[in-house]
Amino acid sequence: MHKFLVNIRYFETPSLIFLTLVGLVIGGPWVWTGVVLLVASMIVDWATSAMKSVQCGPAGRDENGDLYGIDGLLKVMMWAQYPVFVMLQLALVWRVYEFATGASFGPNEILGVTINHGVTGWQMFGATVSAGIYMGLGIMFGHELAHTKGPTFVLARWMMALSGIAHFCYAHVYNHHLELGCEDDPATSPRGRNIYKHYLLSHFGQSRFLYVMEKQRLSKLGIPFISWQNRWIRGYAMSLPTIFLFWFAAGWIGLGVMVGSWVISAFELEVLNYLEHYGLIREKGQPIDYHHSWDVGNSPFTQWGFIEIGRQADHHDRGETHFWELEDCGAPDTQYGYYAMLALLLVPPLWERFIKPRLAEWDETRASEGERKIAAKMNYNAGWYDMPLCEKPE
Amino acid sequence: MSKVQLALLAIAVFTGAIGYILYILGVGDHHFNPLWALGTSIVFLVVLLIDVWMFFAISGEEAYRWKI
Repeated sequence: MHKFLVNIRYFETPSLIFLTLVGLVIGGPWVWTGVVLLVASMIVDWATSAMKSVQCGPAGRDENGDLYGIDGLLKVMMWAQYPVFVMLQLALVWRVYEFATGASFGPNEILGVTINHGVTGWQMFGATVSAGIYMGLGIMFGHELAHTKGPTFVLARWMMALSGIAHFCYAHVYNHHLELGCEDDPATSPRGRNIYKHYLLSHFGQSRFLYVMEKQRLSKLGIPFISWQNRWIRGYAMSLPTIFLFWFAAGWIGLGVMVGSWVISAFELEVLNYLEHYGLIREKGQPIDYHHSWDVGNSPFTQWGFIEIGRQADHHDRGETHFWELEDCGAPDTQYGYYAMLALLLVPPLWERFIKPRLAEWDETRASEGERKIAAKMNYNAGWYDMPLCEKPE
Repeated sequence: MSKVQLALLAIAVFTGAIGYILYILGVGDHHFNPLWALGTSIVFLVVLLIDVWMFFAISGEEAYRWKI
């Protein structure tokens, strides 16, 4: 029974994605399902982060040392997200087609389910945001698969390409995992940067990494930059089916809806990058350690929903280890789940109030001498003059 | 104006100009034609690539440097 429960818990987000898809198909006010689920997730995550009685540990092992996580089941669960995301996107395409063509309003019964035809402008907005949110949350499956090799890595690229961010798979593995905690990693946010600026710089920064990597690689091979062997170009080209579908179905309106859903999805990716390493510092050339990542407590809603990505420190130590094998390793811990912190970081002053005491503690108890020196200067540059460590750069 | 702001402005101007030209050419009237739609989608993809490249070219290394 315990083994069953350990595995079934990772179906939390796939269930929410499926509900959002159903909402889009049923139509009418149900197109807002994704938005309602996100707000509910934030509230539940706050509660489960704070209630110590409902905290959960890693998936773990049984008394014989065998993993509770069932390898085949959890892999199939991740692979199966791709067709679900395609269906979610197709549902959005269908809705924008109805909107653009002014389809008449009215219910229609299909297999005993009432489908509401016709979409108002407000409902189109809700459908776009709902789909964008859950396409974005699906990024965690793309992330997990990006740490594999062969066909499943390619599947991760296709998953990300649905939101126009296929470059992430290379940038994450070959840049972020090797350079985090310093300026060579655009996905690590320095102190004082808000999520909106980080979104921009991290998004373009990761794409730029792959652009430069391919420029150098192809140059060594004597292949022109503009070629089909360019993985930066190929990554964007993988988004062509999505662009085509939205444009074919609804022209300019379809294109606008696609861009809207892409912006939301990519924003969520950068929210995760932001929360995983915000303000943490590593001296260039020094090894990556547990204290260069934020773990996020044991809120079941986050750890199950985000397939244990919140055990960041162990993930960075053992990047190719499956999520159901990750352990607690005593890393710095924000004690709050990702959904809960998402609600905070949307309002930058609230986020700073939340994270500064935790960073002050990190400076005091976790940072090396070299990292403390950098932290003091970064606190000054961020305008955090009330931090215990604060020193004007020379 | 910072280089990042300049890059965003350049992207907005370039994308807006191409979008205007496509609008004037009436590509939106043919989006139900699969071949036209495919051709236009490829144009959009190329515009996206140029936009991203412009951001790199204009904002440069500086945008990613931490002030220490």
